[in-house]
Amino acid sequence: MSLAEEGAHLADLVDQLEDEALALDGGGDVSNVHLLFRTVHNLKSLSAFLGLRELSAAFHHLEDGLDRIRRGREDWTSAWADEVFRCIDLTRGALGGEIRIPPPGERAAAAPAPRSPWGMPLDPGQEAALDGALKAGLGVYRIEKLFRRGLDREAFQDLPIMEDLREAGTLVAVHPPFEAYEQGPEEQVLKFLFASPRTREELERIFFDPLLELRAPDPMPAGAEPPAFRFLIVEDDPMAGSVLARIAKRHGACILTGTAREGYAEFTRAWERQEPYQACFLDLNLPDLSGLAILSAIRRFESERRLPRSQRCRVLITTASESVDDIKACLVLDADGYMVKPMDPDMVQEKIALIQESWLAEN
Amino acid sequence: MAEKPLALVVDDTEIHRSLIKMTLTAKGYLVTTAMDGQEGFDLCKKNNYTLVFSDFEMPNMNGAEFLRAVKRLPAYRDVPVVILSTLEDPDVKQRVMSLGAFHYIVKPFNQAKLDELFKRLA
Repeated sequence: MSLAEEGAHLADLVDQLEDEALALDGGGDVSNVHLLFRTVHNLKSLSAFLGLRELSAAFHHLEDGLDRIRRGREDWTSAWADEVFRCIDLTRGALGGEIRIPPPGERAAAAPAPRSPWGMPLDPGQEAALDGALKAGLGVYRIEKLFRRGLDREAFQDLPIMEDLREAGTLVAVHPPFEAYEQGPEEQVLKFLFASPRTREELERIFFDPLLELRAPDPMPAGAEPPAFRFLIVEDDPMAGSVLARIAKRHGACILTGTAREGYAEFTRAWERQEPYQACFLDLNLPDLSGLAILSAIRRFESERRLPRSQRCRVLITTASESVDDIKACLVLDADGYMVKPMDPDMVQEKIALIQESWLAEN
Repeated sequence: MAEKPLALVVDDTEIHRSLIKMTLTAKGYLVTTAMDGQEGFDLCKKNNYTLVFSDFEMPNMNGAEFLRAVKRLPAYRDVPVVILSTLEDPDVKQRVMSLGAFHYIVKPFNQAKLDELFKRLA
């Protein structure tokens, strides 16, 4: 590229910056800050390359501020809007072009983006999932990430960000949804709303993209009480698993496993460690075996050891099925309770309290 | 004539790609470029680069995600990956280094920063 071409490129970029700033100044969404950040970043590099030091320094300052804003550490204020317009004027001045200050009417014309507490619309299923997470005291976070068009669904699912989200918690919603992304502009910001028991500091060790904390997880009760109770959760649905774990942790120690085999192995290992589980949440539909298979294995294990009834593990079945046959089978196999999903955190809380009461009364 | 060593430059901004490519070509490398982490990662799987430069802020797969993916490839365990970033945050630098980066350069890069890098590479 020649210097003249670079100059033209600079002029184009600054026009783009102006459009983006006008859109944001009307009370736009934070995700527009990403686009702005990116344009400013490119302008900084280009002006540095062209030897325009003053300009590069001004964009550098702006870039730092925008980075703080997109990470939710600072609010977008009119002072920042003024700073953007000042940089636009500086650039146009450097290019020798005509300096154009947008009239106030034009700056206010951009319509404010619709606001939702989560920064994106949610469908009823997503609302319900989020509601469960909130009641369980999980934190709610949003990651905003820039995407280029052209990924198919499979490639999208394989992206590192998806892997990191699975590790961090439970993804509640992506906005815009995949279908809209596929047909969207060349570059766009996608928002990932997820629930996690982890704190912002812990999550910032996983993610490099800006992370917004929309609601902090409830603090754990002060660690004065030792975990008197041990819960085993066998659940392959991550959302149900994290809700259960979150509530169970208020009452004791808890381990979460996702398959029947792992669950049963953990149950027997705990016995070997002489720290048997007092309660188990067991999903009926697990990827490898039915929860009923573990339930019967647990009961066989306990009767082989001639364990008194009072000291048996209290097993609560969790399932999406309301089938009478399933309920009967659970009763025959001596389950201590049955909960139909989606789980209401208040009900989980209540069941745990009942189990603990009966355990303490009998032991 | 000995074959030229291969280098890969991953950056979503054309100007950065061409600048780094120019510099590395002058240092005797045969340079390939990629537009983002994903394209870069696919190229790494197919070729044996001896030096990789990657931007940090990129769509789809950022520099840290790219670095982590590349370092999982056994062939790249010892290949120096240089991350170029606009973030001066020491915490970000430390995290990137702990993912196995060879060097972290804060942009805009200049001759002094590159000389320091090549002194380390030699």
